[in-house]
Amino acid sequence: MKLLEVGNLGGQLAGFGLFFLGAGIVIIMVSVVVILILGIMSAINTEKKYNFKAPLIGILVGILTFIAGGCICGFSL
Amino acid sequence: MFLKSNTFESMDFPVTFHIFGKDILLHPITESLGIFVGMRYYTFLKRNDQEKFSNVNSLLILIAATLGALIGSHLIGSLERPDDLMKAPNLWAYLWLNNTIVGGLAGGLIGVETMKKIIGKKESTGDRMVYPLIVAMFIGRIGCFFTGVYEETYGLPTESVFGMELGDGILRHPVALYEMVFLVALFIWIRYFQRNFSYRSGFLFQMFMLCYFSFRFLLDFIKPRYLVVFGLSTIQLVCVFIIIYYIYLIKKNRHEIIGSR
Repeated sequence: MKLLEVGNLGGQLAGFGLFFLGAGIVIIMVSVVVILILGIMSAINTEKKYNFKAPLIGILVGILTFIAGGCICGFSL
Repeated sequence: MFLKSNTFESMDFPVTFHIFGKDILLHPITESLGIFVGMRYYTFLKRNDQEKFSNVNSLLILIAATLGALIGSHLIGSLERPDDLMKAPNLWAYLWLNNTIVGGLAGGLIGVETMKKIIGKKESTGDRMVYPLIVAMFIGRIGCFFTGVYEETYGLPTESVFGMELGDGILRHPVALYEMVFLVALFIWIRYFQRNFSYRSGFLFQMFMLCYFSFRFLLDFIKPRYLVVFGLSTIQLVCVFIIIYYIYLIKKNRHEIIGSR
């Protein structure tokens, strides 16, 4: 029995949830690009140490935002 | 803002909140709240704990755990009914619409172990995740219970004293409530164990996983199941693999694991 349409992205908060889903993907993509740039820079200049903490936090926040988006628009009546 | 169903006796499932003129299901709210509280609890515990890894390594492991959990929960959730998966008109939508905490935990475990291999770490990282996981799962299950039969976290019909009407007029096992009671008992027991015994790092997480997956294996017998092989559901098969893995792990290290304080 499955009476509830789960996650059809058509709920009353679908727009809000989709915004979170999109924001999560954008945050992840931007963080990955920053990591790639830092990686290239550290490969070029091996003497200088680059901090990868901020973009890694970005990826984590992006994944969590994406999951939150799924939770928000994932259930509709 | 008010709850549509005010009394337990006359509860209408699924329970919704009325906010800004819209009916919002309680389940996604508790699901999001569970993840948020679990993450905050984890960072709080980590602050008070002596960190073994560098911050970057901790972050990599946390990312691997979260990503693994996300993929695992949807993958195992979708494989619960392979026939439906094969017939799904939109595969990605089907994958997105189905998830399970069993797959989330198993995926998170695979993610962490893979990342530890990549960065060359052997120390155990799971102990401080145990309490946040239990709290997050407990909060999430509140939403599962209040969704009644409208989500697949309800039990088979029963005439026992535990039977509850969950929205279809039939007395059923309230499996979400059973799991909440189990999680509270597990929390208390692990806390007692932590205070009274000395143990090898990582043992609390191993114990948590072994207990939870054993419980889920048994609980699924009183839930509607799609039998895949050997009379077991996909979730039960995953549980069997995880149980065997942790029994092997605990047995392998049994000499250095437990000692009373």
